[in-house]
Amino acid sequence: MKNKTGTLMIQGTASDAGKSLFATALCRIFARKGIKTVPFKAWNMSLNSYITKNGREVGIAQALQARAAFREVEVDMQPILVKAMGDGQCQIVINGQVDQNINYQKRKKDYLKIYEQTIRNSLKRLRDNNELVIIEGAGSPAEINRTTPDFANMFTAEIYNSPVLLISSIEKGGCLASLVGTLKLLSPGQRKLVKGLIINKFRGDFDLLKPAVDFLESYTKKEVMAVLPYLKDLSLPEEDSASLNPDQYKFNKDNNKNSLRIAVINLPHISNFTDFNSLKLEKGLRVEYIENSRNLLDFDLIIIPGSKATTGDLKFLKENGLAAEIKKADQAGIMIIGICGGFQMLGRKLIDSYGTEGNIREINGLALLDIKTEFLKEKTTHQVKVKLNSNQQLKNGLSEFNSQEIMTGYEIHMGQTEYLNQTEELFKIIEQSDREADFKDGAVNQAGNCFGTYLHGLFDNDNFRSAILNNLRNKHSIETDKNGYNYQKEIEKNIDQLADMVAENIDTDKLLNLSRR
Amino acid sequence: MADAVMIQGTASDAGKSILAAALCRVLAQDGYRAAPFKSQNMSLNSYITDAGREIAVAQVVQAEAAEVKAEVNMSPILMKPIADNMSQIILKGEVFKNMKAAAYFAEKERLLKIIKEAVSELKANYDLLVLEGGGNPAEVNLRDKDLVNMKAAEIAAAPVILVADIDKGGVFASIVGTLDLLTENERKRVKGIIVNKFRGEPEAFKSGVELIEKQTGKKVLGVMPYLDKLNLPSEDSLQQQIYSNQDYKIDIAVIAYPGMSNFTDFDYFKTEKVVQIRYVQKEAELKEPDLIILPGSKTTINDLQFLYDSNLAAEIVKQAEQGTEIIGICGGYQMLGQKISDPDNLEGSEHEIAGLSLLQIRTVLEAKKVTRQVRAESLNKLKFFQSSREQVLTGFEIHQGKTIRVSEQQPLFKLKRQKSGEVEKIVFDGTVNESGNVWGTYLHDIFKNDGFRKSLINHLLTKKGLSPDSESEKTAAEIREDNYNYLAAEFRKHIDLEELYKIIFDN
Repeated sequence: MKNKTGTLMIQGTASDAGKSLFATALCRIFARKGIKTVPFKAWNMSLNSYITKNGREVGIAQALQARAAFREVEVDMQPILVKAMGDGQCQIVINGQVDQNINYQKRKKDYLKIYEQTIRNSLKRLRDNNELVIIEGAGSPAEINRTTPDFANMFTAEIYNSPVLLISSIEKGGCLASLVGTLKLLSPGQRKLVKGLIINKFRGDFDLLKPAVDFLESYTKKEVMAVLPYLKDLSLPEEDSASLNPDQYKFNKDNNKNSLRIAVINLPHISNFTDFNSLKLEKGLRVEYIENSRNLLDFDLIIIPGSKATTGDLKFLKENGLAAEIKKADQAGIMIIGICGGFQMLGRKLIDSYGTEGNIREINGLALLDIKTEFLKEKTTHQVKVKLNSNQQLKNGLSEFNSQEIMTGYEIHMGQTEYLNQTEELFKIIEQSDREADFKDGAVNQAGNCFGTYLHGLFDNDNFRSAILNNLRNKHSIETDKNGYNYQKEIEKNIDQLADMVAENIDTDKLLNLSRR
Repeated sequence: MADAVMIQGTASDAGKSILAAALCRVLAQDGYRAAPFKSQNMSLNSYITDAGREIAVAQVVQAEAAEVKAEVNMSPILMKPIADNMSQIILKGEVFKNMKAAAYFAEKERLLKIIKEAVSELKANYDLLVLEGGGNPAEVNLRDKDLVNMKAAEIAAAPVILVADIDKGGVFASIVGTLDLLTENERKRVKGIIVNKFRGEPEAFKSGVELIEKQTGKKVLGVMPYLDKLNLPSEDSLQQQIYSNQDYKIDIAVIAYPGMSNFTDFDYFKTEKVVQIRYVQKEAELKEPDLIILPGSKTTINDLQFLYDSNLAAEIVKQAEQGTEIIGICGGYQMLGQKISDPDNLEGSEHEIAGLSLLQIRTVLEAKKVTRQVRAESLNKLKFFQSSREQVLTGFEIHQGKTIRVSEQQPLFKLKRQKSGEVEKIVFDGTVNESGNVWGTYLHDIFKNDGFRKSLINHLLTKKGLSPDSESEKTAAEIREDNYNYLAAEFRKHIDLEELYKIIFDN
């Protein structure tokens, strides 16, 4: 029997064309119509990942898209994730599990069969169990120098001959040329799959653009299905960029004179910087990314984020002097939080006998926490539920926080941390990948100003985030924010706004018919 | 007739300007007298030539790279945006009028004539021309409005080198698409391609180069790496909000109002190791810097209103009263005064607006634009800068306003306005408040003067109880020279110069 599930693919003319958010909008638009919709991205290169309920690691863009589709994110939605570690080294995550570190350029041919089969299987399952699959491509589908199949783009489109919408950003000029050039470089069969063009990030006078739209349609014989406006005030996570977008330096605009100042250490291999998206929406904060050594004493909170190359990034901090500045800040009693790799760096020692993280076998940490970490070959990846340990020091720093409250987050790490000298854990993990558990996580120092945890997504817990921030506000006699805001609601609001904007500018019924052809 | 070559790009940030500057320096090193040229510029960063004509900063940078003097023919049309869809049009370095896009394009014949004249004058006086295009040359909806790409290339009889940025992907498509959308004649004009901003060893893109050549039938002249060590004046738009040096001690906030102009004035602070410079748009971003600068503005009254609306005005006044150092340059200087009047309605509906009243001056806007290079003698009213008469400062004036000092305010500088090397007029400029922490001047490029800049920085350090910066750093000019030479060395390393010279000279 013929499968009636629709598939629709979004490809772009370059990596910042706006594929990901457009796909997010489509997921919400069709899910709101009651259509059982799922996102899919076959192959992703990113250091921002998320963990599914089953403990599988996927690119974070699909987690957001799944949410837009009112779905729990599953590993089938994003089966191959490539995490660059620098120097040509990559970690390959297949079906949400680490395969092994390979020199990607040298050995990628070995992986072709595995990739191919994995992608086919995932997409088949999604198609069998849903009504609509929104597929996102990667980069440009016309990189003709590639020597392997373009898994992320046309390879995936051709599996079910999914109709493709080609999106291009007009912001910097050359949009027409990119669309025309992309179509020209595709094979005739691939070109036929492209059913429509989207011009994104347009600002200005549509009358001036109209002749270009008419020209494109007559020249390419493809319909221009939408001209989407430039959106500047969207607060959705910057999921897909391989590195931190310079715009992120403009982080947090909504602050006042009594702002708390937060420093996020911008590690060379910073990963999961989406952890700080919830801070972006807080009022009265100024968040700055710091990469050069500087005095940190005028900050109220210093965060050391996760890293894909923890030992190398720690060495970087020591060499450029930031490590010493962080220690000075600790002595001054400034609050310091380490997440994942940052947590490990706060400990006494990091040991990497297998070279999991890079070439450094052993390195001393910042020694602010009495812990020691050893990197293993196995990767721990879980969604978790945690409770605060009845730990007095930190409770003082979290005066308004109910220690019985259950918080959620996710772990992604290769290191195992050992507690030295009767150090107590910060959190008790009570549930791991949907199973009851009783594990330790995180640690806090004697003074109570410095703590670390493996938990990503920690700040997405509204009460915890508010408690930390209000504690800092109390310390500086700044009025506390009693209400805070609800991060989850805020994200929902933004997805809805995005979806409304796209729905206003495109014929969604036409897209749906197209997807089912 | 001199030869010519044009650098066009597949998009606006492909790297045309920088590569044109690189080529200018390479040619200078090889003994050629090259003139940079861009027929039409849209920018709020401008410069004044020896002859007192206003041109875009990008061509000034390229002229410096070419080791020739900047002149008006290098940038004969300058559009300075002043509102939505409205620009002040500068023709041959002098104000023509404020125009909307439609009215501007209606003047196409006049504009073409200006471009032709500029090209032929340059051709008569130089060995060759290095032209820069704008945006992408294949925007078919704008074809009949083109003055800056293929039209300019045709006028100058210049072969075209197409630059494509590989950083974000889609490089093949943008090159193939651009060539595809050009007309037959235009396409013939494109003689070579440069792939720009490649991360990694350019060698790794060898197969890509071959494919581009096969697809287009055009020669790829080379693959330029991503150059993140470059430090040259920013061109049209601000690239970053904060420029922070490791271990900086002095925090400078520049108020980035919507019509901010000539922010290249502050590029000279970027290479000072003790300085961090921030561009501030909101009250909350201001914080408590050691120095607040109000820069020039293309729309002074509007931007002053912006200071009030954003509450930045009150905060600046408060910090001034607390002793923070405040400097106003040009439009910013005017804003620091008691009031600005606009009797001829040059800037819109407001006829008069109260200033921040930190300086006892008043300004009347007028249609006449002063555009002169100046040599300034300090009258030693700034405590931190006591100079001898021989120690002159250089800079330039661009303003459409006259400022008078009220009561018995003393000026800061004696300006000798120059025209083509001759003193044309002597005027007095600037003033400082009683406590010495607030001052302003019309002088652009004042911070380019190494002695003055260093004195200011040491004054700020001393004020904070820190010891002066004794490290003998390179002068601003030396730093720029280093950058041009670095750029040229990279260009030589990665571009097939022999082939490029063949394209230029055997054309």
